[in-house]
Amino acid sequence: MRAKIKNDRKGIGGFFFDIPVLLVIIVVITVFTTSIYQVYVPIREERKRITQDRTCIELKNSVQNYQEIHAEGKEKFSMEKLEVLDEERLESHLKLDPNYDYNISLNVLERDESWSFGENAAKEEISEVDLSSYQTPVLLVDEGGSSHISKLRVSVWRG
Amino acid sequence: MERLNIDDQGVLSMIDAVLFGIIILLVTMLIFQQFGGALTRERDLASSEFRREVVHDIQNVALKSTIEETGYVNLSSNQPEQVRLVNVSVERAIKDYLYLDHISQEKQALSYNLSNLEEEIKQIYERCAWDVSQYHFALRSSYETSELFLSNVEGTDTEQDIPPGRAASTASITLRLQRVEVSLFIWR
Repeated sequence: MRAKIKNDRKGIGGFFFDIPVLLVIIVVITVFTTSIYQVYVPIREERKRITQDRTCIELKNSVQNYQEIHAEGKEKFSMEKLEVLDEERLESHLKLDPNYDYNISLNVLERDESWSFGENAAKEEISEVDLSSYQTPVLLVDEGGSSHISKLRVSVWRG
Repeated sequence: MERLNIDDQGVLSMIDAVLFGIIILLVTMLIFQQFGGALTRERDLASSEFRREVVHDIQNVALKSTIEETGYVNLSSNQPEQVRLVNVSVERAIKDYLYLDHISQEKQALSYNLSNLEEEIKQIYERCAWDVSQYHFALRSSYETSELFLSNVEGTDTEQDIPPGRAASTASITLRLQRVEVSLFIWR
């Protein structure tokens, strides 16, 4: 009994033996948590970006399907109708997620004419990196019935 | 004499901890690989959806666009004749090009210079694809013996020259009761 008590150093030595083990476990758990966080953050950002890009395409499709601005066919918009477009009615047609702001602009390529609806991204100091934008050609029909190739740009960003 | 026992519990715990560390690192790598792969696939899918939408829009608008004035030269007679075409759609211009090119190959007596018509079609596609959406493009269509191939990139003369990461859209038009496909390819 006496000898056993004399040789048992677990109470002191055992604790010191465990310190490197604890350090290894702490380092491993820290590395693991940091790595998961490092992976999770870009994934979350990328997912948000993909959702935003999809919202942008949906918005473009809604604009193309908005009959109030059509001249003839889905690809042709009337300049006259754009001049008198009611922005509130357009907004209610677009049914955009309230978390997003948007801008829709139309520019006639060979003429100095343009229309813009929604928020102004430049004014709100939204950088191009945070924007999802989609540029597509459309045909704008003037008063004389001639069609002009124009640029439709739809931009979406988190408000 | 007292026998000294060697207490190896500390070493065993260390081995356990290192093993734990190795397993955790392997799990981390696996998670990295799985999520990274899934994210790349999702991003590729989203970007291909985006390009598919763009190419479809460009094709629709270009085909419905109007060429204010174009034409071709009829070289069949001794006196070359300039034929004017006013306010023609790109679709009609493509049909004219394919048909005239085909009959000039079929009949020795007929000959046309269609370079003006070809240039006007190219300009419309260039405006839609490059000026608006900043995409390079190539257009291919064929009817019987004739073929139309246009691109805004030098050295892209056949479909084999188009880079593999392109998006494509094919529209069908009717020429003399025959279905003709007009394929548009875009890339960056």
